[in-house]
Amino acid sequence: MKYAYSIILLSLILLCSCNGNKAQQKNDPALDSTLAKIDSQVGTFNPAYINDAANSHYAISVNFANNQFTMVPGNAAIRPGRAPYLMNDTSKPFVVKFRDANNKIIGSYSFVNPGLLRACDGKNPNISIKDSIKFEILLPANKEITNLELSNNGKRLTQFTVPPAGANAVDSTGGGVKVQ
Amino acid sequence: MNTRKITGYQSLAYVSLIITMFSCKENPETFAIHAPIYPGNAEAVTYTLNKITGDVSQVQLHETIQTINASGTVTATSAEALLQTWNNPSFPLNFTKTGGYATNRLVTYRFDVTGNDKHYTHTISFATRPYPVPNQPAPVYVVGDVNRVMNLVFIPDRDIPAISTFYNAVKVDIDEVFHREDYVRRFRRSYNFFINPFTGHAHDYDTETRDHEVPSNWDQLSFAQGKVILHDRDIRDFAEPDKHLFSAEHYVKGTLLHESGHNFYDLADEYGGGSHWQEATLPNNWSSLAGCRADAAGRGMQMSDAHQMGTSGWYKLCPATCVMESSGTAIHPYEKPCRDRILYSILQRSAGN
Repeated sequence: MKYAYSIILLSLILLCSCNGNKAQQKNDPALDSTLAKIDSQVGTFNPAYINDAANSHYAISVNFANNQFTMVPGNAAIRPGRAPYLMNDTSKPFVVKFRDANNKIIGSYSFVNPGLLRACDGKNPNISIKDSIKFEILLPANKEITNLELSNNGKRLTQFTVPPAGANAVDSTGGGVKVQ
Repeated sequence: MNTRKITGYQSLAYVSLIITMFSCKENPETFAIHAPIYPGNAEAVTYTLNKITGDVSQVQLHETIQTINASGTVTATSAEALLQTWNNPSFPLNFTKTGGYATNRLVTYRFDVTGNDKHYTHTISFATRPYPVPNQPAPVYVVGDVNRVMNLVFIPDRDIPAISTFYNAVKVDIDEVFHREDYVRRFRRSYNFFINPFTGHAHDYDTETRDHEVPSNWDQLSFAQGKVILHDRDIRDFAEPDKHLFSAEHYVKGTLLHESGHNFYDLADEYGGGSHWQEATLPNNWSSLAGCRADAAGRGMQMSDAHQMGTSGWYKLCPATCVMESSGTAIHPYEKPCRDRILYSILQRSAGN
């Protein structure tokens, strides 16, 4: 009888320690299944992605000053990789829609106000909005795109005719030094 | 033959012990890293596998070496080689490749992990230094197609005293930010990390012009969902959301996790006076209390969890411990509503949307 109680006690101890470990990271079959799906879809890294024209994008530079948007000419160079936005998500306030020659919407994406700056640093966070900015609209390298429309909080701001992807040379604005 | 009569109590005891022993087995969870993160010619590389939890019965480490040219094209691929096998291992596991690798190489290592009748792999690639593709960020910890995973480019600030400090900070950020957060680390095939070959310069939000100085190859970085300038000065950091660009001290970890929430998953701030909007799918901010309460049950929360962020007129379900409320030195976890959005975002990205 004592032997039986000892084994039951041992079982309880093991069970408790086991549950303690599981608290660190629980097995979640539904998540595991989704992770497996994600893993099956992500492919492998290819260093030649820079040459993949089918998955590239280009940039249109836009100035905002005196409450007006104007397109900066001379920057529709193809860039490697797809544009970084989740396409066709227009949840955020600033919405970019791009259309073909028949004014049919090809796609869209959204982000917060392009002049917004966010200082989430430390105990005194702050946001501010610049009233004069130059920013980039990133578009899929799709030659059918002929114009784009910008809106903010549901209000249409402007519409541009855009140069086709790859039309001009890169307008590099950065600086810096090579470190290697 | 020695036979013993087993009583009812003894039967119960044996059954409970057996059930306990089987139910105690856990699926293994591990993460892998290499150091240095961006090794130079012939520099020794140490591979490490850490265990988070679970039962691991065997681990194998393999490597494949590719030669790449200035166009990023692979010109030669070695056969995969088995480097080491560990049976019933004690963690962490380490293996050092003495003599390292030559330049112009992309090295892929694979940890095969078996335990509790599960089998999975960590497959990670990194370039040796210098990366031969001009003006491109060097892949230093990449796991998937750039168009199907989240991409983060680390940019050294020109104020970094020694580039080795920066390289080490990148390794620490991958290992101690992305691999330590309880939820994010489960997506072991969803994040690519790069090091930019050109410097930028982060400005102080309070005392300098509110625009970071971007590196000269900026056009080559716009594919990335996140770009972070790691700097040495102690300044008030800020983000430029339209550029997917932010800054952080190279020794601060919480900023990276918080800003990744914005850049990778479109999570809004969870403090009053931050940047607020309501995503159409699985938001972490709501524009009304009624909407926030209505979604609570479906997000694993209670209606009573819904509360306003300060006096912003925006509402949330996450408690104050969520990383989207905090930033800075401490690493807080993402809470359930944010986790929902993380899963959705990564799933969308992996599907090519």
